[in-house]
Amino acid sequence: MITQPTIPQLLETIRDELGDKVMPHVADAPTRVSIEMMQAVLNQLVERSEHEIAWMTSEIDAIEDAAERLAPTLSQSDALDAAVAEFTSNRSESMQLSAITADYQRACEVLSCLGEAAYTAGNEAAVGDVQALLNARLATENAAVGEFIAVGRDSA
Amino acid sequence: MLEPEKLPKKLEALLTNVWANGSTALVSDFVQITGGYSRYMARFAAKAGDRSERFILRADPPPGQSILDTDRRLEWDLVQSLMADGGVTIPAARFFDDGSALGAPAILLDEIAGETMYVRIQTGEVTDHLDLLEPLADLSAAIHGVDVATLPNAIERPTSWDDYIDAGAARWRSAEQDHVESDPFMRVIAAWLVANKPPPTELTLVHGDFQAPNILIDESTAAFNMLDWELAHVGDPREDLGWWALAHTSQPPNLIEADQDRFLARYREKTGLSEEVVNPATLAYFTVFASLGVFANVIGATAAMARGQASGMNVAYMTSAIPSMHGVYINAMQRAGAWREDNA
Repeated sequence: MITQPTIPQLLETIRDELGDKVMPHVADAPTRVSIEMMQAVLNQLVERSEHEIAWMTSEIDAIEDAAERLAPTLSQSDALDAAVAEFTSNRSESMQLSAITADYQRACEVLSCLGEAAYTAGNEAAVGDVQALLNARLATENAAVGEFIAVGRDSA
Repeated sequence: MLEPEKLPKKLEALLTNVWANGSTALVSDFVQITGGYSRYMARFAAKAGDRSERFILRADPPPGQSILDTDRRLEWDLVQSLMADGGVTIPAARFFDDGSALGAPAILLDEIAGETMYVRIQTGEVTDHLDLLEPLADLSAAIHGVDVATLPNAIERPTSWDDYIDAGAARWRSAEQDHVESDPFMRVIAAWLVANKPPPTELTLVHGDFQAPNILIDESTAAFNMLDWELAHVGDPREDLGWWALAHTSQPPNLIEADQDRFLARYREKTGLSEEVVNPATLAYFTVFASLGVFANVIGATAAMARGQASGMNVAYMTSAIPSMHGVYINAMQRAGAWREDNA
């Protein structure tokens, strides 16, 4: 299969062409805003296409580790138990993006349940651990999209 | 369905019926307004005989191309009640169309010559514009001072502050469950909102999208006109102040943040609310609480795209906004905790 130029390189080419070749010929303000939005989404895709699988698998591991560590310190939670069981019993070996995404979704449900159980119990240490996981997730999301500045507002 | 290229002719037909006093209305200088992500907006001139005026069109966009699904009729009814009340300055809403004339529900408003506060504060440093803080605080206090009894009956009145806050927290959880993917931020937020309730206050009219791009400064009177009432509701007044912080993360600068103490002092003076009720921690709380309406609509639109039920660059672009909003929530939760610790 063709791997070169890479997906990020192809996306960057489209993004740059839009800015350098198309935009200068567009006078219509709504269309210019549309092009700016396309460029922002393409920027996001450049990062996601390169890192998405690694980011998801890394976060899955971190959540699994946290669940093993925190669950015994929290009060009995049927929702947390069910989420962990669902995650564990469906873990896939596939490298297909759809399979990893499904694993990731089940891991995220575990994280959600951990957060809810931690706040409900008023367990400050567990809350801190969940917040650390969310901070790490946020760092990943920010790496994917960069700083978000709403386009088109200056002409409003 | 709205067909933008046909709007000038349809507007001429509508205005001939409702405005032209027996003459035929002519529409010219029709220009779409960019910057809003929810409604189709345009400005234009209308002339009939010796009469001429300039209008703003505010219409529902074609299906699947908006990040918000709101009711134009309800917005029309609300702005009519606000015009009658007179406590908040708004552009006069002149005509409503249920879609039979223009192809989509729409409101026609007077165009007011001026610039938005957002455009105004783009020049120079944000500290050059601190004199806008008092009129901004006065505007927010005026919104929150509107007599709720005068609002349209269709606007829901919560039974109590506690019920309202609990329901808001629960909606974070239910919105996450309706989404196409798991979002742990939303679930943790729901739990945090319940565990960290601030002191209660009287429920009031809340604008729901209180931000500098929605404030038009009249160039002749300097009056602050509040625009875009589609998210207005009865709720906690601190929602508007909290929402401001989130809105200006992606639309810097944040004028209130430039001198928050000055703004809050004026707001407290105008509303009579105490520092226990209105302070940086409660604002941070309501930054999180208040944003569900818009956040749920944003993720709802992206979910519709994921299901193949929506399209449009506005919607795709919103996927880039979600991490920014997550960041504001985490930040606000941490700031609220830090302020409470420092002032315990």
